[in-house]
Amino acid sequence: MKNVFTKHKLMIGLVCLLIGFMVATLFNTNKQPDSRDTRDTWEIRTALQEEQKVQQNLYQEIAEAEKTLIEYQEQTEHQQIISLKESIQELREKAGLTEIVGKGMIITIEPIFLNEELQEYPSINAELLQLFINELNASGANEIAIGNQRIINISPIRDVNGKVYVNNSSIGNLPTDIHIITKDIEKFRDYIEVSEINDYFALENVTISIREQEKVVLPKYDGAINLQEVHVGDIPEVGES
Amino acid sequence: MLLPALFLLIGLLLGFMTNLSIPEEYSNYLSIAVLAALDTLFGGIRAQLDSKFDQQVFISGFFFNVSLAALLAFLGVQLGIDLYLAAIFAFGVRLFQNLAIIRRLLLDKYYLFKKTKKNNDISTKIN
Amino acid sequence: MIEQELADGPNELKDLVDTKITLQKLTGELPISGEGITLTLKDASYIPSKDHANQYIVHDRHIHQTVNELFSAGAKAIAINGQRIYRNSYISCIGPVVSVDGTAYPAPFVVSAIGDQDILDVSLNLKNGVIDMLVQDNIEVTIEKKSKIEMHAKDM
Repeated sequence: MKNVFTKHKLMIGLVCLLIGFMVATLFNTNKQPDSRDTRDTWEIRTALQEEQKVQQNLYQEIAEAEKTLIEYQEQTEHQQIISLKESIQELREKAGLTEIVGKGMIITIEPIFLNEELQEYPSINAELLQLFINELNASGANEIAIGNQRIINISPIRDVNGKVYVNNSSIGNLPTDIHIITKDIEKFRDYIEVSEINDYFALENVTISIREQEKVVLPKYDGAINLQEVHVGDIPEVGES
Repeated sequence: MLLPALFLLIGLLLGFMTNLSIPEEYSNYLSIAVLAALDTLFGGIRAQLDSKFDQQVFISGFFFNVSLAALLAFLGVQLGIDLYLAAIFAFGVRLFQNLAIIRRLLLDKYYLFKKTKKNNDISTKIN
Repeated sequence: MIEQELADGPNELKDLVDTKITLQKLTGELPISGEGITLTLKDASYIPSKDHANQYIVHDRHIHQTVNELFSAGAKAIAINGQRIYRNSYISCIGPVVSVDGTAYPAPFVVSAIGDQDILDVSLNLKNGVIDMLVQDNIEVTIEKKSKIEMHAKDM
């Protein structure tokens, strides 16, 4: 009987213990937020000052980071401009918009006079010159200038009133110098010397003489380049600007 | 009668001394559980005074009510309904009912005690 | 294309990028497209047996003349059978095949030019112009105006 009584009491006691514990825990939990706000004005002010300090430090950090970012952007922009200028220069050279000096040759187209009295002053026509340029290209010319007209990707050669026009300006009367820059002079020379272009020239009472030169100066193309109607690939907007 | 009160005190002391606190979001569950526990406790006291206290009912009731209350609160949070209000209402009403009954029972007991004392006095006087 | 993104940036950069793009279009580093015209040069379909067949086929010089006429009329870019030609391109016709920079294309020979359609058309059709000359040489010529002609970039 006493045993049962003790067990009975113990069980209830345990439950009571648990209840007490729970209440205390709940009390603690609810009490905690209150304890946070027990600071007085001075304490709050100090805390606020500290927070403001932290904030200021953060602002400073942000400002520094922004400065670095701007510097970086400016620098890369600068570098971009430099590399752009470099590539533009390269492209200008490629396009023939700059004066160029190199190893090559000067071919002079000269009239031959077989019978000075009966013969007209010899001249060449655009067709012949086109053929010649084609032949020069086939033999491996890198850069060509006729007279002082540099041949670029869009250079026309044609007859206007009996005169040959290159880049829309006359090359004048013979003799005419053609400046050529090529890598392999020997091969080029051989190619030209056996070319049937010589026969065509002979028909017009014209001959060519080739002079190899260590230094050939080709003038730059001085016309305007206007490619506004030409769009880049599949992105139609780019060419508009 | 003294032993449960003693244990209750020990529990309270233990709770305060460990300074245990639970995260804010779970305090709701605990408060509901405490309410259920208190309800069970007062139910137990009432039963004791009615002299129909059953240990099994008391212990199972305690754990069942506490867990059910917490579960109800949890469900309420999940569903977005303030279900814990239902628990508070139910337990609160029962708590006050129990308290009322306890009060009356205690009063009855007091009167009974006074009466018997008086009777005893009378009987002694007679004697 | 990073240059195109940069083109929205500050003016100096934009100008440089524009210049670069223009030069790239000129040198063929970028694929290009634009309105223009195409000429199809075909050997005469009817060759009288008596005459020499050579008089009825397209020669290099026909293509040269056409190309030069188109350039002088302001063509921005010219391609022969789809291959863009540059200043050091050479064209040769070997029988029914035209070779542009060593790549052979079969007849008919299609010369496409990007540029102002009307100007190109008018200058080709001048009296005693290129078309007249081609017709005189018994070549069948057809001119088509195209709203979009595409040319590949140069193989680097």
